[in-house]
Amino acid sequence: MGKVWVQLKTPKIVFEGGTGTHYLAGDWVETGKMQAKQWLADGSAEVPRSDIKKEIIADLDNCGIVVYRGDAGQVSSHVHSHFPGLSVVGGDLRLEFPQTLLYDSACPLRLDLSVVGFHRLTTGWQIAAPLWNYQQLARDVGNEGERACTKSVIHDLRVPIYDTRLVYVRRCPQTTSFLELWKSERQSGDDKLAFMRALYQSRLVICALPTTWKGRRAR
Amino acid sequence: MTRGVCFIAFGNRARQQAALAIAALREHSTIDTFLFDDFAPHLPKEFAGLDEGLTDMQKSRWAKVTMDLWTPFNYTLYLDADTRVRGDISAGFENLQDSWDVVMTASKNQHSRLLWHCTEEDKRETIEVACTNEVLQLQAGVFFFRKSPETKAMFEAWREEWLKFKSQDQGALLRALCTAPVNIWLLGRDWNGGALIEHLFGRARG
Repeated sequence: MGKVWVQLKTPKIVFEGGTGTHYLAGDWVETGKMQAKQWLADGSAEVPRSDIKKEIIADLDNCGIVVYRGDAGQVSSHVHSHFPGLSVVGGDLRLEFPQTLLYDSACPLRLDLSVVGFHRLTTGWQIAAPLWNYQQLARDVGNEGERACTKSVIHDLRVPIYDTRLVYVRRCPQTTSFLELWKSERQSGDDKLAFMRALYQSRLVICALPTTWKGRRAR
Repeated sequence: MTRGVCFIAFGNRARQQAALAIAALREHSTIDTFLFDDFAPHLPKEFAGLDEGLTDMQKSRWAKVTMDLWTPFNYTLYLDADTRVRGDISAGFENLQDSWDVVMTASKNQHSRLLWHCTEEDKRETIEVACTNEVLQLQAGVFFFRKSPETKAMFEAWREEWLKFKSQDQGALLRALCTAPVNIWLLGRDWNGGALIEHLFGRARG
């Protein structure tokens, strides 16, 4: 991935070759495209030339967000303030785009990490989702019947569960089948356990993400 | 398909801990075990000598990242020598049987404690490869894996990454997964540092 020049809007320490260099707001820095995208997303840098900015975010052309719960219009406004070309649609769970974020707007969306989330789908992972938290396990959610049903599929309920409000999915036959299975399973009760059963049976290459992906930035 | 549990122990203290770990396992299972220690040159000959000049800690990490080459089992559970099995561990093997490549837990050290035990350069390299410092740190002191083309590629990448710094293995694992991802079924803390598999974290280091 080539490097591009961006203008910082906030001070930063930029590491290269093991050495950190302090830059001030207004300084120009040459960086990788992924880093540039993250800085554009979190508002800490800008690329005044629109043709270069378009080139930096070009690989988001295959990406889009399906807001399956919540106000797609609000999400769209937020997203487009940073990435005007990124598609946002509402409606049911579906893989509308080659790389789709299935999103419930009750979950905070960190755009700086969204570009990384979409990137994960181009580097071998089929799906990426944050953990619900680090304490609650499958044994702690749903009702007795749902837990028994889930245990019969995944063998042991002492496993972490995923936050189904923020799920990145690469569209392929396996994930398409997974989504159909998840939709079927979620009709019968707890969404997180339904997701676990569908995931387990689909054997997707999943990138588990830390909980900060749906909240405050890690220090 | 064969199932078994592998341990690694370099140095007297680690060997003592491994003996205790195997004894604890025996209270709950008759599964086969395999111990990789400094008396057992198990590595294939193309890797022979690569551990010369390494400390015991480095040798144990090198043994771990080459485990796919020397484990006698198709389905392997790796346990650090300072772990103590306290119950039935068969569900992890069932997950492998159901075609999950790797079964393991997340580390209890996340976010600001990401790779706290690694060198700065190891940590920085990992963040650069992962494109963010917000990655889920995995705990590689207890994990199940099955032999498959995918895990072979993962171990190859893990070795390549570990050889860059020859230190801890967790940063190298995260980087390896960025280039050779596998399907990982995550387990909860009970399985590593909890009620089912106790983990003494570091007591075995001599």
